Amino acid sequence: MTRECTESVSRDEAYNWVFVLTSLISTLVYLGILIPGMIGTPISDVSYVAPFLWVLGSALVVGFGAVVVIRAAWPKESRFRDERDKEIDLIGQYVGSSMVTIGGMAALTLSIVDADRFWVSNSLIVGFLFAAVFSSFSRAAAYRGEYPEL
Amino acid sequence: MGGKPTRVTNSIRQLRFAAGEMTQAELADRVGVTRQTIIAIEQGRYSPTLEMAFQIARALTVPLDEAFHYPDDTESTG
Amino acid sequence: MSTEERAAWASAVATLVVPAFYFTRVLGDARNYPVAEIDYQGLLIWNVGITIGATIALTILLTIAHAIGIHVSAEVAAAKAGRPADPDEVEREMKSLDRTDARDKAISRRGEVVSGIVLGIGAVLPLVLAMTEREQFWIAQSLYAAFILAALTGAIAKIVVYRTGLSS
Repeated sequence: MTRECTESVSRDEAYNWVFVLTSLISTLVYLGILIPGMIGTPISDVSYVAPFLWVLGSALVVGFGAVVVIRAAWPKESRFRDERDKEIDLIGQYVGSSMVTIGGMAALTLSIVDADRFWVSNSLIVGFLFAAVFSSFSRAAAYRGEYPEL
Repeated sequence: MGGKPTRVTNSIRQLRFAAGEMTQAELADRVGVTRQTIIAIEQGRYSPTLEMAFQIARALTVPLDEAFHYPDDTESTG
Repeated sequence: MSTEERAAWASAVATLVVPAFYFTRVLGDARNYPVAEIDYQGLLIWNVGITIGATIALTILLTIAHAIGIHVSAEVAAAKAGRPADPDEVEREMKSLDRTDARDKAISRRGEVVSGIVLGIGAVLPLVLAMTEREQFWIAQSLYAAFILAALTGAIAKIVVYRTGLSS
């Protein structure tokens, strides 16, 4: 971690970069396992629970490790998280919540029409994954001064 | 995209040097924010709250509209 | 009171009252019948429609009540001061009845965030149920409950911020 980096990037912004990378990689890996697995297999036989848990577990472990490293690497400041960090965090959460809502609505509709639980689950999972990606991306942009149209 | 957060501009950097070479870190400490927030405000990447703007001006011992400037609507057309 | 605040009150009341009928009925059925035989789908869709309709209707009612209140308070103030009511003042108040400003948008965002968090946490249960191949009935009920709870907490959060003030 160069001194220049830790001075121009706040600790919270660094945490968000971890979030950006883990959410993006998790989404790509999960979909990369799921979609090929769906080809030529009846939906109810497609294995998705194990891949999901593996991806989630790995992301949590890697993310936690990265957070520990960042905590150690960032210089001791009098303030780590201020109102700008909180404001930008709220923007990220706002952007992400719309993804969770869409995923949830799709899941409810699919459940009502008795679609295979595979579809219900994956509506929720994809909703969560996209929420993570969109929220972390919009936070990264806001830290650079590009705010989303709200 | 919403784009840049504000039309408010500021002279914080110049005023810092004028106020005895105050560093960004010092100003951040006085106002109660992170150093990166001061950097972001100076570079026009963040619009401070009204309260923060007052605190910054006070820390630089200048009135508010010496630290922050808002374009006249007649100037900004075209 | 802006349209957003009236809508928040309407939403809080509607999501508190209307789904209660649905859940009482459906969960009561679940005690007496195997869930695979319960025809909850139609009831659920109706309930969603009625909740939304009730929210809109209450918002309109509150708006009308507010408009009447503006006129009434203008007359009362005029009567006390012993002069006719000021039509400009009334017109100004009426115009600001449905104005939406930056504060409304900021509070609306706060409400959405609270809603989103509650929904995110609430959606964990249906996800677990779906991944462990439980009955669709319970998956659907827990999802609907999560949505209702999210809408309710979002509306309450907005009301609290409107009344106690926080953001600028």
